[in-house]
Order: sequence, then structure tokens, then C-alpha cells
Amino acid sequence: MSEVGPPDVGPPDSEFGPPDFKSTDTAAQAKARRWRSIAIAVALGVFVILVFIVTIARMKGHVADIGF
Amino acid sequence: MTDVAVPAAAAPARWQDYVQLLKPRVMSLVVFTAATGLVCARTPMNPFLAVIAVFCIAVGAGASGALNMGFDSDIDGLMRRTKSRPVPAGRVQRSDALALGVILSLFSVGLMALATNLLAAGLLAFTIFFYAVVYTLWLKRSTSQNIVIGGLAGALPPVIGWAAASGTTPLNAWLLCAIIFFWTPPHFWALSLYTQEDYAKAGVPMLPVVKGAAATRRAILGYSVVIAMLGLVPALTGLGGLLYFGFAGLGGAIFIALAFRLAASKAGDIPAGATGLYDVKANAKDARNLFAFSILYLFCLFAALIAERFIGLPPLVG
Repeated sequence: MSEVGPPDVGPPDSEFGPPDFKSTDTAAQAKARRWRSIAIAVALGVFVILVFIVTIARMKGHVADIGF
Repeated sequence: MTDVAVPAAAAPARWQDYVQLLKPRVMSLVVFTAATGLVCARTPMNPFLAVIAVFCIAVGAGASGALNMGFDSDIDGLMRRTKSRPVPAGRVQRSDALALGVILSLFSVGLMALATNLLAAGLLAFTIFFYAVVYTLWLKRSTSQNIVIGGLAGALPPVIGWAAASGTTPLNAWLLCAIIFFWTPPHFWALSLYTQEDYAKAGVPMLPVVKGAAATRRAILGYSVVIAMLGLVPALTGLGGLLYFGFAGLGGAIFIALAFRLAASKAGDIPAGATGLYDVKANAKDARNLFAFSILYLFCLFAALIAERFIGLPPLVG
């Protein structure tokens, strides 16, 4: 009787496969990464708002230049 | 199974590290000179757009700083003055510093084009490129005239400010640029006279390292005479008034006097019997004095120009 289950195909990882990475992140590093992500999101939001306000300010100037 | 540990960073990066990448002290000087150019243009401008223009120049300067720290991390790690910077200290990855620099460059140039005009945006892009690539990657490591030519990057902000306000760059804008350009060599060479051991260790060909301290002191004196004379010119071109002329005349005289004292000193010479690389600092007092005064001199000249605009003092000529 053969054993039931997936056949053991290929050599073990240690010889040919990708090595298993063990993350050495500490809680402090994870926290720092989270804050960095939040900061990037806030910066992007500020950038979008700035572009919007600048566009309005420029348009307002051009509209004021139009003579009737 | 093989366990491969990913090397941990020296310490997690703090927000202060990213601020440090932007070289805030350099940024403050850039903001000040750019604002001077903007004010001197005497062109009515939407105050909000004027603030945005100066903000873009500040962010562009910060981007240059981040790119500089990314590209220079190898030599920064060798110098006592710079080894605690975020990249050589291992708190920020070199690729992160470079990415931050590129993103902020795109951000600042794009917003500048949108808020003001393409001339100002183009000048800002050129300044970032000149500082990060031409100066940092090429001039700094290859010639003793590195800070002379590279000084153009630090000299351009008033021209950018002027262009942002008026869409043009007249001769007076380039005069402000020339003042900073000729101010840069005596300022940085005075500093390098007492930090030359760092530069020598890192293989950076600063003038005192390549030509020696005596030749550097003579070069400082020559440039100091030029900057003192050049500082007076705005009073003759319709840019500066009486207040400016007074500051430029008195400041220029003190600048030359300090440069003469430095030329006659032994600043930067390695004392006889010195045992350590850092003993060269023993004679640095005159170099430190000129370095400190050069900052005050430039600040007073540009502050006088801004003050005259707000007080309403007319230019001496025109």
C-alpha cells in the first residue's frame, strides 16, 4: 500500500529553493514604518489640495483679466 | 532549511532623520535669498502664489539635500562632521534618500510650473540637477574648484524667486546671483581650513587639501576683495538704497579686514610636532571668525534689500 498524500516532488528548499527569510523587524521598526506610511499619505493629500487651490488661484487671476 | 536573517537597520528611522535629509539650515538660507529675489522684482503677485513659490524653492532645496546625502553616503561616513547623518549612520537606506530626493524634485518643479511660470520651474529644475549631479557626483570629487563652480546652485534661488514673480530674469536678478556666487568660495574655504583633515580622509579635493593652507588663505583674500566690491554694485544699479549701501560698505570693509587677518595667520597649517590629524584645528580662530562673519554679511545685505522694499526707501540710483 502506498501512502496517501501529495508526492514529495523535488529537492528540499535548503539545496535549490529560495531560502526562508526571517524578518528581524522589531515592534519599533513596525511602528516607524506605519508612521512613515501615514506621513506619505498625508503629504500626498496636502499635495492634491495644494494643486487644487493653486489651480483655483491661477484661474481666478485669468478670469479677472477677461474684459467685458 | 536555511534561515537567512535580514540585516536589521541600526535603528528605526525617525521623522527627524527625514527632516535632516532635507538639510534644513541650507534650506533656510535658500528660502531667505529666494524671498529677496521675489520681493526685489517689484511685481504685484497673489500673496498665496508667492508663498507657494517660496515653498517650492524650499522643497527643491530639500530635494537637492536628500539627493546629495544619498549620493555622498560613502564619503559622509568617513568624515567626522558628517558620519552621523541618517544614511551613513544606517538609520535611512541610501535608496530611500534618493527616492525622497527624486519625488520632492518632481513635486517642487511641477507645483512651481503650475503656480508661477515655466521659466521659474525650469530654473528650479536646473538648480536641483546642477547641485545633485554636476556638483555632488562630479565637481566635488574631481577638482579643487568644486565649490567655486558648484556655488552656482546656491546662488540661483534669488533668480528663481525673481522669475517666479515677474516671469523675467533681468540683470539685477543675476547681480544677486553673482553676489552669492562670489561669496561662496571665501565662506566655504574658511570652513575647510579647519575641517580639511576630514576632506583629506575622504579624498575630497578641497583647496586646502590640494594646494595647501597658505594658497587657500590667499585665494580667500582675493575673493573677499571681489565680494566686498561686488556687494556695492546693487546700490548703483537701482536695486539697493541708502540702508543697503551702508551695510554693504561697512560689511565689505570688515570682510576684507578679516580676510587680511586670516591671510596673515597660520590657520589651516599643521603645527610643528602635531601628532594627530585633527591638530590642525589649533590655528583655526581667524578662519572661524571669517566663516561666521560671512554668514552675517550675506544676511545683512539681503535683509537690507527686503527692509527697503517694506519701509519704502527708494534706491540710490534710478
